Amino acid sequence: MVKPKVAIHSITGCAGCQLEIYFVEDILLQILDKIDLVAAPMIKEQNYDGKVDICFIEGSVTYDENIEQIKKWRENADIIVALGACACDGGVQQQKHFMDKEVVEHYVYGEERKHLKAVPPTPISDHIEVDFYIKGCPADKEEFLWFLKQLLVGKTPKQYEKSICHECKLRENHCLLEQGRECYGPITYGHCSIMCPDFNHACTCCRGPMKDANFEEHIKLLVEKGYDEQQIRQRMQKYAGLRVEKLMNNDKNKS
Amino acid sequence: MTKISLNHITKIEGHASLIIGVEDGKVTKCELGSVEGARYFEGIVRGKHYSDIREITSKICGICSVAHTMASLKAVENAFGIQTSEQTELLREMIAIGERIRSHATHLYLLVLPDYLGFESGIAMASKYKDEVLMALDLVKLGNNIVSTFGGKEMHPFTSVVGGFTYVPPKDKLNALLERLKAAKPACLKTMELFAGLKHPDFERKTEYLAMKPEKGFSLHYGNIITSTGVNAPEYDYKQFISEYIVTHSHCKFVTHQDKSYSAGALARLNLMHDLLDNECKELMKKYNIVFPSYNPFHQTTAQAIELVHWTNRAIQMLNEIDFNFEGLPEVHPKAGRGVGMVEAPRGMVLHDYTFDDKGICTECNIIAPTTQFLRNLEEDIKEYLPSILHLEKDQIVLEIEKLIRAYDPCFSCGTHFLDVTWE
Repeated sequence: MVKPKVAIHSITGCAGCQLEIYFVEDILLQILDKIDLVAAPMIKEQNYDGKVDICFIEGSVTYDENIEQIKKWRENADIIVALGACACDGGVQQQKHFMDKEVVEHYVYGEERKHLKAVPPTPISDHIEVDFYIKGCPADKEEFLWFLKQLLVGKTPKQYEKSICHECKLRENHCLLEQGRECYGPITYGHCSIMCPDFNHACTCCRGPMKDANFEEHIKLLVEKGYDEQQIRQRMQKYAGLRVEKLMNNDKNKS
Repeated sequence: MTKISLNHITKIEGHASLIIGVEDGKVTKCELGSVEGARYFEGIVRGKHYSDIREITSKICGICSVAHTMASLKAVENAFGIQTSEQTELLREMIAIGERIRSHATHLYLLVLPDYLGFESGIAMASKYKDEVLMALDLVKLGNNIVSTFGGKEMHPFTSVVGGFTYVPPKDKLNALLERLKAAKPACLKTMELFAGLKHPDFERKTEYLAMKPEKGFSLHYGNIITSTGVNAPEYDYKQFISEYIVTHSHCKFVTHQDKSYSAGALARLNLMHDLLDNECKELMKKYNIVFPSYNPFHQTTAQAIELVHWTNRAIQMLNEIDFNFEGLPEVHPKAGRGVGMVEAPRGMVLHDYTFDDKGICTECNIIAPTTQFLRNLEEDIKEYLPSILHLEKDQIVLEIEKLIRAYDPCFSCGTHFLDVTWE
């Protein structure tokens, strides 16, 4: 079998998703034996910029060059995989959309910021077609391995469509919502190998909103438990505010 | 004029570029900058509730997410006047040790060693040095195991919250971790031997070094800022002697002390505080003739290898001596005020400075990451190192500069990634 050519690229982000992939540690060499890693500038000096079979992209678009980069990678790849919350949903930096952009930019860089050529932070799917999403902040390495193994045995991986809440129940965790905690498990995509609720910490929505989530009902539930509505709405924007907004608008238009 | 411009430096964390101009054997221009897109963390954090800030700011960086987490929590706690329990501090130190081990192992073996052994990457190196690569990956795994055992996740650990922890690992997990640490000790000693034996360029430049001097022992958390020029000041006074400025060739701010550059990271720490290392490390320094202070920036890797042994010993000691028990979820009462939190990340000091209103909403935020602090020092090192290597072939010059850049273990996500060269 011909080994698939794989590239791992990054645009604006923390590089945590890429590190998470390399953190498969003991099986890293076995994985690399099954693929031909032709580009990965974070760990390789020689990086090929031609046609590849699979291209993983981490990070979100935050300045104009990012758009040119991902368009080129799209042209050169059969399969584009958005790796992690920034690439999938915009990530924490997209919270800027819900603030006064001028104020935010001025606060950090003052008057001298023309050289930054900033554009509003957006997920890569706003600019190019994406074939698969590996969610989470950072991307879940177990999901990455699962995805790669599926491809290597000739299957077409399917996006997971169940919530964190569903998985949490299967693990028989004591429900944090029932304990009065501010958990976002019911509206967040699952397939998370290490769930915050396993560690007595509420889910904070890093894997992004389920497309059929009932946002308004969840907000109502949390308000009833005594949480501040404005802060609830702000927290739902933490990783994927743009997507949440779009989905909530769709709900409004339907009703 | 010869112009060297490296647009994307590889094998570092983040995206960076370098432009160098040379005229008549003299360096006329040296601009090292980040080309990482700006994310405006300090601006985004304003208006957010104190309980969300640690989660947001830990995302500044993948490789030092623990350091940002700990500095952030401490800043909030200092603002609210919260005294955390001794166990909370020890649990946080364990997570930070995990990050120190994985970060140093990743940097030493996967980013630095291939340059010295003549391979383009750690992966390519595995063809000849498979045992070493496997050993490195095992050390990375050990560090990750420590972080995830205590912090939940390897990256962006979440169990540590303002005032304490949501979770403490059960005894059987701690015993398993202790056995892993003991088993990894020989690999740490081999790393020490390997990196003490590397032949580094004969280059020295005396500069200033800055680090955090821990309150007690050689802890990773909380203490005063000290420098080789005699500064010794509490963290909240940092603005009096370090200043940030913006340069148009970089998306990353630059930081200086009294308008002069300084260095940070493992070499700075050991130059300033090698007396705080444990006895085994001191013996190893004698055995391999390692002397601090060293003004050779390439000795950063030697310092990291020593720290690897020190922190592995410290983790073993802690797991042998301490019983961790869940103390309950912390209760937090926000109050108006300012708090600064400072910790040592693997590559230097990290500082978070927040101001809150009486409801615990953040009104002001300033964050200083390690890479921003040593960028100017690195630029100045390149300027001084370059004339001594101009006689080499172009490829070789680039490799030597890249080696120097990588020695600093820069992380451009923190500050804001890498080197591509065109010659004019």
